[in-house]
Amino acid sequence: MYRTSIVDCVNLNSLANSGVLQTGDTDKINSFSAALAIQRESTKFGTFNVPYSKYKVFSQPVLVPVCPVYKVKQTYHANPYIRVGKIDILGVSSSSILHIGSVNDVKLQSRVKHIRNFLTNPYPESEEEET
Amino acid sequence: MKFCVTNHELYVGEIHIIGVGLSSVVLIGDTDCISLGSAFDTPPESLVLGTSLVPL
Repeated sequence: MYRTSIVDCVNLNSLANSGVLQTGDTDKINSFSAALAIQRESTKFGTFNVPYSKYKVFSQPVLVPVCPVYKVKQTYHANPYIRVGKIDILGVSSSSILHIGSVNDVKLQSRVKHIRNFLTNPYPESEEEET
Repeated sequence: MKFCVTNHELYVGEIHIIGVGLSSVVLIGDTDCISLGSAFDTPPESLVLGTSLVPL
């Protein structure tokens, strides 16, 4: 039903934050990632007690188009191979996938909330306009 | 709807990618269905002043 993938060389620098490199065929992939990207003025490292439930972006649904269902689907492989010479990737991260091989169903979702935390207002001009 | 596909030779020399991030897929192969979703929030309100990070 599916073709065979042939890759001569894979050069992957970094695989981080639940990124996946999968070789071989897969039936189903379902992955989810939630990230709080905090940019702070003060370099106070340690544990943060920041609950995801406080932010709307993690709870609101993301609309994803639904795949159409074909009643009749015919595939004929004149050449049953997909050939790739070399793959060069710097990084795979945040529930992303590098998949060599065929896959039936892929569902990925990610949510990111950015926060810029300053001790003093870096834009004093704009504050004057507001008041 | 009738959906007919004939796959002929597919040969790619080299693939160079800087980064794959936030629910993205690089797929060397065949697939039936891919559905990806991503929510990214950086509004002006994301600017937090002071020491407390958590919104009230």
